[in-house]
Amino acid sequence: MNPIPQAVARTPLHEWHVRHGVVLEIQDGWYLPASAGVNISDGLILTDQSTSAKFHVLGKEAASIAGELAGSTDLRANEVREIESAYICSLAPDRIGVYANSTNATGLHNLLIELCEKRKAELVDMTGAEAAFNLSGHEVEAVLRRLTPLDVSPAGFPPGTCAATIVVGIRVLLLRPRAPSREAVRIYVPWDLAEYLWSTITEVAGNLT
Amino acid sequence: VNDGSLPTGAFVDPTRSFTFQFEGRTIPALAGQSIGAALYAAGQRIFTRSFKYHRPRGLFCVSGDCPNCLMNVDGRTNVRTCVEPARPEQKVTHQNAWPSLEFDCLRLFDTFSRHLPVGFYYKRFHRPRWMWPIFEHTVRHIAGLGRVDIHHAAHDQGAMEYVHADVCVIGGGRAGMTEALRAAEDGGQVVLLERLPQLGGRTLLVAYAGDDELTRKCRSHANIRVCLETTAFGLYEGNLIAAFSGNTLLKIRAGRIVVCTGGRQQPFVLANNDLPGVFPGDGVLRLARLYGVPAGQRAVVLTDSDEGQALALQLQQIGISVAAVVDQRPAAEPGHKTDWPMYLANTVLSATARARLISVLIQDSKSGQSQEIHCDLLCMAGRRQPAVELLLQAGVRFRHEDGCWKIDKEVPGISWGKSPSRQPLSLGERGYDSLPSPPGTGVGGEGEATSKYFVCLCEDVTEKDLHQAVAEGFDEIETLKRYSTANMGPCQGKMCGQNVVEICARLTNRPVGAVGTTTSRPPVVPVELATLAAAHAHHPVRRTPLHHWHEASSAVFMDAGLWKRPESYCGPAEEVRSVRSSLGMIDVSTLGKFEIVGPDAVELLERIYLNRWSDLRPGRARYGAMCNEDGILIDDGVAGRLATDRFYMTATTGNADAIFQWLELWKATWRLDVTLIDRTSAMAAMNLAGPHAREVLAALADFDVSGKSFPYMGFREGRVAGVPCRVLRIGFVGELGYEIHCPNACARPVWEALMDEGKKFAIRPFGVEAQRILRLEKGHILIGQDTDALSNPLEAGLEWMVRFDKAAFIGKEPLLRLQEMGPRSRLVGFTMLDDARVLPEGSQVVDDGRPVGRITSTRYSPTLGKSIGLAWVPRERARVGYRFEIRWNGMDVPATVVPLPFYDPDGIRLKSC
Repeated sequence: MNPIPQAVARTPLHEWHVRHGVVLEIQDGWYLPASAGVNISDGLILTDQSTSAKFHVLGKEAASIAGELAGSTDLRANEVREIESAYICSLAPDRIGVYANSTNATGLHNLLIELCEKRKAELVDMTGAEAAFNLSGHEVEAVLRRLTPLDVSPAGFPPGTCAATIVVGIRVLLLRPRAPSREAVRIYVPWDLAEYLWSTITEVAGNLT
Repeated sequence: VNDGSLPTGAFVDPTRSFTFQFEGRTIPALAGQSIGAALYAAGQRIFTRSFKYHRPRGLFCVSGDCPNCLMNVDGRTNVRTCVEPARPEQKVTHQNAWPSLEFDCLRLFDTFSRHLPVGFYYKRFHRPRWMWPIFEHTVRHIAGLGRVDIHHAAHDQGAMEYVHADVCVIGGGRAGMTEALRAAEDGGQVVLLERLPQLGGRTLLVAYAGDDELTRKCRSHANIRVCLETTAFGLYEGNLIAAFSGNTLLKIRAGRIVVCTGGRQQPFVLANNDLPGVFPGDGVLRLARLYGVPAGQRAVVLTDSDEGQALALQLQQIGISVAAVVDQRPAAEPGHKTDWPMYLANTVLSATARARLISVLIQDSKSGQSQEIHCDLLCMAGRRQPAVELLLQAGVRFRHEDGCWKIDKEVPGISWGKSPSRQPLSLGERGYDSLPSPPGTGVGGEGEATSKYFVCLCEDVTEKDLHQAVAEGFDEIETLKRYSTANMGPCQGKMCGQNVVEICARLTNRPVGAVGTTTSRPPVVPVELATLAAAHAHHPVRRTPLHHWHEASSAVFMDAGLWKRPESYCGPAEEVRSVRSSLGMIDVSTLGKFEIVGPDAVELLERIYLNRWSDLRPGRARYGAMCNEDGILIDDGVAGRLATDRFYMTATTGNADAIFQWLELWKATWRLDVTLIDRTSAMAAMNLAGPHAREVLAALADFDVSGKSFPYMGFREGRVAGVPCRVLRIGFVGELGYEIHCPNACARPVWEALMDEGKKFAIRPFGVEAQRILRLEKGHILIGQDTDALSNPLEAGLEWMVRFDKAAFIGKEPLLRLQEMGPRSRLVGFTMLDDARVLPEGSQVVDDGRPVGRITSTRYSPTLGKSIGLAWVPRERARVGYRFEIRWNGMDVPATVVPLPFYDPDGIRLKSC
């Protein structure tokens, strides 16, 4: 048998990037856009971060694992804590999300494996199940108001929180980090709906007046 | 035309002018003017023809409430031209008149109105019966307002915006601005909706002096978002306000809603009160103050309140001379010396017009003497009625007390504006009873033959119609509304609502409070369907990771729920032949894919599925079906055992979400120690099928795929094309086949590697249509296609699967009862006696001319060279060789029951080693 070349993974936006002339480079086994993001409208940048590592921890001990990762106290519902290289979100009483900022999160993964084994929780790698976008710029709220019934004002969706909500008819997780500014929102969407959502955001942002 | 004595109009920019087209004429306009104002300035007086009698109608409310100015603008029908901004190069045409607005043939209906009484369509045209279709066609053709051109290019697609606020104030008049400022200064985030292009409300009509202090404060306050040209049209539960701005639909959620929608002057009911030149006073002021167009030169003011004197003063200020003020009250003090004649205890009996209004006839209610006054305007300054439609929708209720409607029931979170200068929300009652009814107002009264007393301008409902409807027994306000159609036109009772209530009260000798009001429902103003559709403009599409490969391979796509699936590539027959003779591959990523993990994993499967799972060894897979609590089949699929406490399960594409919720429900109900993981969006899947499948997989897999070590219904984890995969050896299409599940991100390399490797066997991708033919040849059922909401496994040919010796499974009890009774029908295979004929699925199975079943799947089998299918037939007829007929297109086509499966009955190909 001939040696099989290593397969290079693709984000669900791979074809969109190719069609729009985005330069792709191979990094950590993925095709990644070389540029930081796509300028979809004045003051709005959409970035494909689907390659970033994503994990869910399931089970009764999920909350305590989150507490152990984030500090001494358990996370409140919809709270987001930022640790060195990832965001930790409380998604449900028996489910937390751990969203890394980078593709290569071996250290974090190993830590989660260790914690899950110790506390008998189920670790699920969601990297290929969910795409991730970063929407940033001063028009973030304006475009989100056209996409979701969630109150996306700082009062309704403050920095440091997440919300499982409906965006243009599909269930997604919105995450608003504390830093760098309130003008950035991360969107986690099922892989198979990612291209639809990306295109819709692009279209709606283009129609902003 | 504005001769310079008038202000230019609050909304008008006199420095920018342009033209638009109206019925072939070029009409000059100024930026900010409405189409109606520009047409009026150009001398146009008739704007439309009325709904029923085709009487000439001209500008009236100038606020977008009444139907008197509806026209077609650039292909959009029923546009309210009195408020629609004029734009360069617009094309405006009339509607509801033929051949022209000035001469409309259907005015004939006015002449013969005696034969078109209220509810005439319930009484006429039913005899002779055979004529009804002709009448119906004619009435449908004539009725309605405007014509929708279905071939007209779609207008701009609507947009949608969700808005959240602590307080939403509806109405940007003084009361609204005061409320908004108060809330904003308390720290709340406020949204202020105003349907006009400027804040100010009625103050704009009194004396426009530009932005005042209150307006400036509102506009500059950081906590107030001012939404101009935004109309709220519905108020729903949970403090949800629906509004639109242009073609953008707004859904506004607010902690508190303040309704400050002001009031309207109720029109008087008098003879010919619909003629062009008859206006509510506010209409005249709007035309002048907002758009800079005088409505006439010489006006008579009719009033029953102090509004009349105030209006006369305003008219004088805008250069319209006042011929008389006619006050229905027996005594009233003008408060100052007036420059116009005052007629107290008088009323206007009728208006007279030729091309334009020329005079009104007034009558002294004491002496009965009448006189004619020449004028080109009749301004009605009726008592002002608050606009409460939104409050009524919110659940606020009113009671009638001391001649006014007062709040009877409040709703938490909803309040109303309290302008310091006026009494809020007291619906005044005009003194109908204190004045003699004008002649001709009774049924068949004098003057009715030539004059009409309109109550509802939208639907052409006259006072006589209401008399007749009440006489026929429709004496409750809701039935009176439905029978007479008053309040049911475009204005939804804004102009006529109070008049109908008062007339109903008078005719039934009841107090107004006992009559009540009609129900207010959204939308309170007409909304374009395109705007409403903006809420549903987005249609989610699920794409498999191989979607673009299929696209590049010329796949024809079909919808499967939200998914896009290839239906075929080069034709289903060719694809079927490829699978049977060599090799094919189909993308089955849309299957539901779940992991069931935990000590009770096997217990969950035992209870969910009909068959046994505890004896399934790791590395093996099994087909299973599941029922609901009634023993009805709901889904099927394959599950493989990864470890003692871990299973990987598939569900059908259409049921994936429902089955995952089903598992969650029963896990919680039985309190099982199981973790459920939905991997549907994480894993791609592809089915490699055909006699050469093993050779291709062997070249790419890092595990042994020989028949001995990887037998039929085997389940392996290993690398394919270097990618970690789960591989099930199953055969839905009836050939040696492998279902390869891999992470989405690497699906394309795996698929392409398999396609490359398969080239030597002329591999073809196959689509859903070929898959359906292949599975039908094999006799595999599709749940949902071959079963329905009454189908159970004992009748669907899955009785071999049902293990009644299990302690429990969902649907066991009803299936036990059914087993005792015996099945009533069976799902059988059949072939057509005419080999080539494929009848539509769902056709009836008939026996002795009676329907006894139906066919569920039919296809022409390229492998067998004949038409095959599955059908439900009565149990006693479910025997091989039984002949029956299928009714199609009026014919009974013969077919015969044959044994299943049609292809490879011994499973030799499927289980090939």
